Amino acid sequence: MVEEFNLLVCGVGGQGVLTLSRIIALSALKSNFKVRVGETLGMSQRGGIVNSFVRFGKNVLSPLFEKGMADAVIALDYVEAARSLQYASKRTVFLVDSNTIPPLSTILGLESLPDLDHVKRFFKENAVKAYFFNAFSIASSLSLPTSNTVMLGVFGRLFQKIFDRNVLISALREIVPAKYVEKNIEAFQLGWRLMDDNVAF
Amino acid sequence: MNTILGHAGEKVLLMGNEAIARGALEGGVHVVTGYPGTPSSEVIMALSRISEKVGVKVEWFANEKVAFEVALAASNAGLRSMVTMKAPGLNVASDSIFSAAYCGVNGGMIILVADDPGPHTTQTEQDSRFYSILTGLPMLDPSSPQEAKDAVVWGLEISERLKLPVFLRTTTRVNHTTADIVLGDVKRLERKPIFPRDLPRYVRASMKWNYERHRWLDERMKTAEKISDNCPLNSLLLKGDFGIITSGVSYLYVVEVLKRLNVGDCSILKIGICNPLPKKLINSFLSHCKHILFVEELTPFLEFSIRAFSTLNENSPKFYGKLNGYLPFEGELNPSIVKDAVSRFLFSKPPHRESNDLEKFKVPSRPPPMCPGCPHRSAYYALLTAIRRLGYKREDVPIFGDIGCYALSLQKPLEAIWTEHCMGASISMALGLKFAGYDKPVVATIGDSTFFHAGLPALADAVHLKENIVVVILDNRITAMTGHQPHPGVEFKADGSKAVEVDIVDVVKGLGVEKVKVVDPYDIVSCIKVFEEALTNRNGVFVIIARRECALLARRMGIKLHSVHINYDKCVKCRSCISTFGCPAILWNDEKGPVIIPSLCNGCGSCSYICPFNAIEVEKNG
Ligand SMILES: Cc1ncc(C[n+]2csc(CCOP(=O)(O)OP(=O)(O)O)c2C)c(N)n1
Ligand code: SF4
Repeated sequence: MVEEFNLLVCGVGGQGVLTLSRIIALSALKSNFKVRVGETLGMSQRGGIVNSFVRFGKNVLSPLFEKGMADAVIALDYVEAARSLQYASKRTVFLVDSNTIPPLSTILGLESLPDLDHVKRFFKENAVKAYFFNAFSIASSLSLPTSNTVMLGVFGRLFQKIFDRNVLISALREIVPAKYVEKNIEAFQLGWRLMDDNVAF
Repeated sequence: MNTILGHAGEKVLLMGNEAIARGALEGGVHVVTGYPGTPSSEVIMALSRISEKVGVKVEWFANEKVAFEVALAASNAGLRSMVTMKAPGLNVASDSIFSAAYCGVNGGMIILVADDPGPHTTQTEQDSRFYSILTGLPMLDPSSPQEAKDAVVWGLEISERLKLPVFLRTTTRVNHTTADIVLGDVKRLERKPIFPRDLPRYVRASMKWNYERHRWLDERMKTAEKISDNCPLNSLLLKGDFGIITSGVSYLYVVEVLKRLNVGDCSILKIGICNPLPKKLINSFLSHCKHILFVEELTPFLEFSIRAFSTLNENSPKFYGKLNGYLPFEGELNPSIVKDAVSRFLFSKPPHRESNDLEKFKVPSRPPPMCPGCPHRSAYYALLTAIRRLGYKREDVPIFGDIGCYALSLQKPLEAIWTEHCMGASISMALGLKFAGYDKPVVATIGDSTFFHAGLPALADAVHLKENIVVVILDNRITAMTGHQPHPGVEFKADGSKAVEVDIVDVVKGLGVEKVKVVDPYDIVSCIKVFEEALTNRNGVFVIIARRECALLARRMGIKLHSVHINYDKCVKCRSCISTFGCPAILWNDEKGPVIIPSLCNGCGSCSYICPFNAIEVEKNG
């Protein structure tokens, strides 16, 4: 039984952060864990930062965890992965979609957009384990607007000791609107396979 | 299946606001009202989806005062009710709540008020707990979604027993936390509304009656004091002589932090009712502990009250809290801040913290922009253009803003609004500046929902005084910022069923405005003309209704008006589309120049007006 697992799901409004975090939270409930999800809604649809703190295990009470305490971070946007480093430590695992919706300030040229290689290098130099995937293009190939369920597959494969694969799929079925379920399960399977290749190394 | 309709005993995953909605069903409410406001809105949104099925009347009203009075009448008539609002909404409703404390209720009534320490989405960090003292009404202060649900049920019971409305005060970390919740029984109370004719109770015109009702209220609160110690949201843990008094979500941080610090002998008093305070519990804690730390968010309500209360006792413990610098007054607490305070309190030093190099990576800021295709962006662009074309400098023409998505226009590149104060203040402040003698044009910009909420009285005054102000009503046919709720100006109700649309044009004309024009903000050329006319008007109030559906809502309904592309033969890479308009669907590519991202573009077509070289081409979609 997991004592305490601290997950941060992050991204930008419109990328499906809240749906992903709900699926994982429901999976945790179905696995008989206590569950707490802390988030601040309001800007979730409008291209602002979305952070969802998902905590589960035997002993969780509060909706937030301390900085540095994340066991895992799922980032649907690589710039947001970099922003979430404050919640991480060297034992945190990052699962990152290597795409970004550039912040307006960078489009306007007021701030600079860190490029993907720069972010990857920072993770490497600081010895933080991070896996990067072009999950958005996989989602697009299935005509899905967001990569969240691809990343769910990635997460599920890496943490298959915690969650039964079928539990994740049944939670997905409950949360995703019926007519998109099958496509999202396909996305989940593809995500799972992506991680398979990595875990084999 | 909708989880808020689950069976008693079932464990389900619910957001705090959904849990509160479930609590209303378990408490047998008949009527639920409110005005939207983050973080309170999901209570009504959850209930309106099932209102018909469960036979509860659920509706949005024009503002919090109206919503409160609608619910009050139901509770006066013996039904159970709940009204929901964010903290500033309580200020709007408060006039009515003070009087309601004198007449009381017959059916139980909950006033949900959601505070926002942080703040995350609110204009101020108001601590609404003080309203419980001001109005003299009971107030519950839960720390989790489960407690919030249970508090609604318990609160409705004691409200009915005391015959007083009961506040349920939450914070964002309760409303927007999702957790596993155990459901209770849903209750159905068959009641018919009957309004009792009882003049001394319901008429505040006689000073003698008012004095008597004040005494009645104080009597009721004496009864409430007897109940307070048994409030199920309180908990007392007596261990060592170092103790912590806490409430709300801070309690959860305290418990987790003590565990992480391996402290097993700290006493804890959690207070779940802030008026009347549980005096017996507090007294036993004060006599048990020698040192007491207060851990609470925002203004030190418990610390003020209990420090004062302890002066009635002979021996007082030593107190630590915000008043002597252990915790900040501003912002929300979190486990790290609580850990620092608890460590200082117990070990006289903050915890050891390794410096974290991971925080050093520099990330660009990401304030939320207006959506691609947002009609507000086009309207402000046209307004700013008109001001410039008339030869005014930007700093000549103040643009008073109001609360809603259009306040996001303060960001670059538009930087349109000069103020965002509180609901409705744009029109009154524009009027105020003119009234004070300002001799250049003055503009107020206000959303449709905000106009119905608090814009009408000021507009009536502006007409009455015949001041030359320009009022732009940004009519995107919805209350967008808070999650797309209806208002009196749209043709549907909270549950989506048909309602009568109150046309803003008629309202404005009815208030006596002679110059009223309706424009489509996507038609920027016409907009600029109308704004120019308004800004040069010297004959009283000029109202422009910029009417076009919220782009996010249109997108959800699958509407995309145009296909938009860039003709690179014409584009000279001047960057105007990006640097003057700031639509997030247009990115810059160093080789190609501007690039429109089809998945982000909502097809408003406004950018075709922006490009000075007509390089942005639009095609109407069929
Ligand atoms: C007294 C008060 N009640 C509620 C709110 C929450 N709130 C913020 S903006 C807004 C309304 C926005 O609607 P509208 O004016 O139509 O503008 P839109 O967001 O649609 O552009 C509300 C209800 C508030 N800030 N203050
Ligand atoms: S939600 Fe609607 S009103 Fe708000 S920024 Fe988006 S398009 Fe504009």
